[in-house]
Amino acid sequence: MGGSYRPTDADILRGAGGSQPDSGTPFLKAIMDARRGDPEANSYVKSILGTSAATGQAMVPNNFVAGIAQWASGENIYRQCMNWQSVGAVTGVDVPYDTDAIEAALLQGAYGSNKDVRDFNFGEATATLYQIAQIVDIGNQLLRQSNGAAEAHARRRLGRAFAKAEAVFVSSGTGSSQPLGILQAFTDTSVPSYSTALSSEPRAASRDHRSGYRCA
Amino acid sequence: MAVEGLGTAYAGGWAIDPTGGPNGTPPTSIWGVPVYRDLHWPAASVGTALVGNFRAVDVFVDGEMRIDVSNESGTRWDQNVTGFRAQTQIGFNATPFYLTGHFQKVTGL
Repeated sequence: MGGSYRPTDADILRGAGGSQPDSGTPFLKAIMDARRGDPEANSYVKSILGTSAATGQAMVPNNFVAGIAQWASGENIYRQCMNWQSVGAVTGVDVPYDTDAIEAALLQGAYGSNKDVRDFNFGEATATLYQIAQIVDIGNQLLRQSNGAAEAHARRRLGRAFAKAEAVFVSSGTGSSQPLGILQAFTDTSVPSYSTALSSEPRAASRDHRSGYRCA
Repeated sequence: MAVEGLGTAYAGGWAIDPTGGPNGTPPTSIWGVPVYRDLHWPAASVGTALVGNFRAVDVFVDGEMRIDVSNESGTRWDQNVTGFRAQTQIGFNATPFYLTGHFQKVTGL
């Protein structure tokens, strides 16, 4: 530190320290700016991550969440073939469904004539949102010294754990304190069977709205 | 689905060629219907498949997966450990899709 000028803390926060050849990048200013634009930026300086003490201290890698989501999607086939909707902070979603057969719209007569009016019924089921979570602990020294390998491993484990949980819930969740999966829905005996003609899974077939079954 | 025994005289052959099968890119299809393998399919249902209109089925999540990091809670500070906590919420109810005929089971595979 040669010379007579020593930037104060306020100078550094304003970025003034950056004008001094030995002061380096005004990273504190960058942090302060980030905080202005990002209300969650406190996490920016909260943890000890990164590939080395020089480059990583106190920064949460931006791609951490994206990496987990990528693994979760890759190992959960239902993420790829079903419609995943983000509904925000709610406890459940009501899902209506048709119980009446679709009837063709009728040809209408003269101008001004009454139009065909049809009422229809629908059922409703509730999809309750359940929380899934997992914590992975990693030694700080390993995080710093593994050149990102430990962090990548954490992403992979979390992503695969979430993929497994989601896939199991969708395919075979019991419906008791967890989502009701597809295979479990086939065992639903709360609705009486209306068909004995089919030897396998008659209820699903008889309730296909295309079959003409009408709900009372 | 890779089951032998489809020949006219039980001469064999694969229902689905296991080479590049359901895990292939692009995935195997039967008459244009893609076939996927669920890596986490329950052991109790081996030999069973689902045929469905999956595109019409909704699964609900609360948004982006949330990641919180702490090296202070519990004994993490003492042990110099960082914990990564991931959490999300998922809601799914197969009943309406089952009742409206979006799914059928194929057994005996």
